[in-house]
Amino acid sequence: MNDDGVSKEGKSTVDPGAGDNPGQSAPAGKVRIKLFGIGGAGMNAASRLATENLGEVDLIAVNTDTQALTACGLEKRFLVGETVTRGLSAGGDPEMGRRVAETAASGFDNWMRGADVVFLVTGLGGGTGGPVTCAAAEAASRTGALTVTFAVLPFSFEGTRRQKQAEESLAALRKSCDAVIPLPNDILLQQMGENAPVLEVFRESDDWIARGVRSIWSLLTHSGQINLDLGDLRQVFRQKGGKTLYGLGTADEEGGVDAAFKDLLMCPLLHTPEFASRADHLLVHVSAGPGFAMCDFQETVQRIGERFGRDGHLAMGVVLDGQFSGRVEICVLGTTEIDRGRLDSGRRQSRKQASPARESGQALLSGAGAARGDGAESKKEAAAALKARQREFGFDEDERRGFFDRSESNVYEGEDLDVPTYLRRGIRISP
Amino acid sequence: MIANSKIIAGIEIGTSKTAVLVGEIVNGNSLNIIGFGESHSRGVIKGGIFDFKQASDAAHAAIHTAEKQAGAHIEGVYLAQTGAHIEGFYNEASVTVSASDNLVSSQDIRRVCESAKAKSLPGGRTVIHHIRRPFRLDGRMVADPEYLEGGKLEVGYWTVHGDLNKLSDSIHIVNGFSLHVDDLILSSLASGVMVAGDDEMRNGVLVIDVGCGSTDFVLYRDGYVVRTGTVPVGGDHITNDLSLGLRIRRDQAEALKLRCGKTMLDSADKGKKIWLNGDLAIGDRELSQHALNQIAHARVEELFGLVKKKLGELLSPQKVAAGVILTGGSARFPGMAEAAEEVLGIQAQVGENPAWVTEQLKGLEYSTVLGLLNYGLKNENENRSGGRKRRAGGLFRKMTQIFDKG
Repeated sequence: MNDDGVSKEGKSTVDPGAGDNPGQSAPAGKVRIKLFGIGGAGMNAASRLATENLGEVDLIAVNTDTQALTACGLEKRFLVGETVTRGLSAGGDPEMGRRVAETAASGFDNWMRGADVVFLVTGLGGGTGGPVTCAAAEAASRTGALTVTFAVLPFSFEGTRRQKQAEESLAALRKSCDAVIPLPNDILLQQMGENAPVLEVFRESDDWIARGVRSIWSLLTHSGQINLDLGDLRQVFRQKGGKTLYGLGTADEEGGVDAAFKDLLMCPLLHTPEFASRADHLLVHVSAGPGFAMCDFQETVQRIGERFGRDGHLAMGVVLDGQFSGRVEICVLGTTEIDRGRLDSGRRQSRKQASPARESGQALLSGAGAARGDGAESKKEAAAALKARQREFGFDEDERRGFFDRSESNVYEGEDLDVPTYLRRGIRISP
Repeated sequence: MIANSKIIAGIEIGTSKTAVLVGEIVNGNSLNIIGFGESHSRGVIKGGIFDFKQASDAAHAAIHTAEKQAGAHIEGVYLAQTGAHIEGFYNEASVTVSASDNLVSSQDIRRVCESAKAKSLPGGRTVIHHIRRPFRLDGRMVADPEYLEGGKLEVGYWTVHGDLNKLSDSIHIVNGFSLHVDDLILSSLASGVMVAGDDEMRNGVLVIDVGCGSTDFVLYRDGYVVRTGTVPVGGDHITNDLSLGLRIRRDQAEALKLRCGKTMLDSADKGKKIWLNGDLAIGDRELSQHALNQIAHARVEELFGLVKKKLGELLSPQKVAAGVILTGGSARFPGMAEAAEEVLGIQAQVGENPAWVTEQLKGLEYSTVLGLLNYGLKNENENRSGGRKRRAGGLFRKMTQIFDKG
């Protein structure tokens, strides 16, 4: 790496601590974790994590803006797209974002070297976050690292253009990442007190990201009473292209794991239209203080499995950690809808001639199909399989699944009418 | 059956229920309702059929019940239509009156009507209704211009068209029971005639049928239909919003909506708690009535806002002097009329089915299926008299009711 921080080919890095070569390999038996905070939103979350005392996690700030990079306080920084933006902000221009992403690709390859798990944290909708994060995700998957992305989605009231950009980026990210966890600002806003200023929601999303990263980190680095490791995590995210189910529940020690489970059921991220689904693979991770009593645990895990998972594909772990003393936290991670999405699009295809808008979705989904080795076979087959599936699950599924999931989209003037109005309007509900 | 009668059925394959009403038309001018069947719909969402098999099974169960109760074989079906795929456009045409004495001939009328209807549709679409607006002769509105004197005859049609595949899905369901579909009727037109009277239609009235999966509306003025439309949002959306917003299961949300649903904000409800299940059993918990109101109000406000947007300039207190009438299964929630009034700026009320309707069919969710039989009656009557001259206006009052729960 260049210590002068500037080089051509977009490999430019500002890395005062460059003695620590990003390509350095990890000591045997240790999981090497890197977290990239990409763009303004991502850097903020990363800075926040820097205060969390997560040993063994490399935090790297990524931005096009030299000034913002310097101000973020993280030691490791990666200046991207210098030849494009000359070290200035990209100003939310998607075209510029794409060009920045192109120049950043080889630089990311260097940064990713040696990582086993890569977290990408970003805000979508602005134009740069999406493409640059995609470039990072592609670089990470080239090195074979497990990639988990936290993506903050813009408020509906920020306008349909930003929404659309965010959705496109999200779809692209799902293709190249093992897990993509969307954090819609619309939903996080619901978590805020009635009179809290709207901007407080950014702190809220940082918090969700921090809890998620911490949970996965603790699963990977601590050997628990019931242990989970990188292999289990890989197993959950074996197939790319699906949606990631992610939820957290906490309670104090007194309430125990049962109260944490109740809190988990109320987790806002599990109550969005797209996450009303059941997971194909599920990982349950419980962090608790050293005084945690293991009784009732088995039963709770079973209930979680019943609520979120299909049969059989459930992994669980418990870590007792001094940092959690007096608290219990449950984290669920899973993948959903890998084949369902594909079949749905097959059904639509069979009904109508492919429209250009759907073709992109089809291309995305065929990725998942190829991974399963059955490729894009005949549309009829897919339609028949869907029929069979619908019969198999009947309508019992509707209770848990997004109710309008299977219906045609309902977009009027850029707004999806199937999404609750209060979410789109930013009306805060305190249940 | 008596020689001079025909057995027809009105069928509505709705999002929540499939309703079938069997009527006997006697001598082409009076109707007896003789059978009723209903089943929970399946495979229908937002007014559209997405699972043919399930929708078909549910519909057949309802048809079977109704036919059995009627004790007669259904000879023709009037089938309600709704869904996001249905659209409409307005097209006008004018002709110069051909005769030298300037008297309008039937040929002039035919010419102007045909050219107003001649606009071609994009591929895969088919016409459901050509709804004629009144004729204008030299700018003057006339009900029937034949033999009147004038130079220029104009007419406009509000043409309603839908996706051919989707329409045929519902026709096939009925055909699958070996029944013949006589006509497709827009849901809004069917429910409109049940809740709005002739005077109201003359003065201008907007009927909004808020169903389970979709909302249909029809605007009348001068006794004619001015505009129809569909918004693919209904009571299901309120349920879904409640389920997500209050973080409860869908079935709980549906029950809660029916028990405590309110669509207006009420300061008295701030701090008021309601029980989720109300059964005081384990798992019950308290929720805020205010939160429920907020969620439902946001949805309903948006829904009426969409209706308003779709009607644009056609909507004003002057043009819609008789106000807004709400019907449909989701019109029953407290605060619906207030919400409509607040958004549309026109006084609104929840409608009622005609007085002769039996208790069993009084519910506003049956306006559509009742209206279908009304269309059937009108249609049979026109077929018999063979002319467009006879207006069905007064006929409907002859509808009699000898429907007993058999």
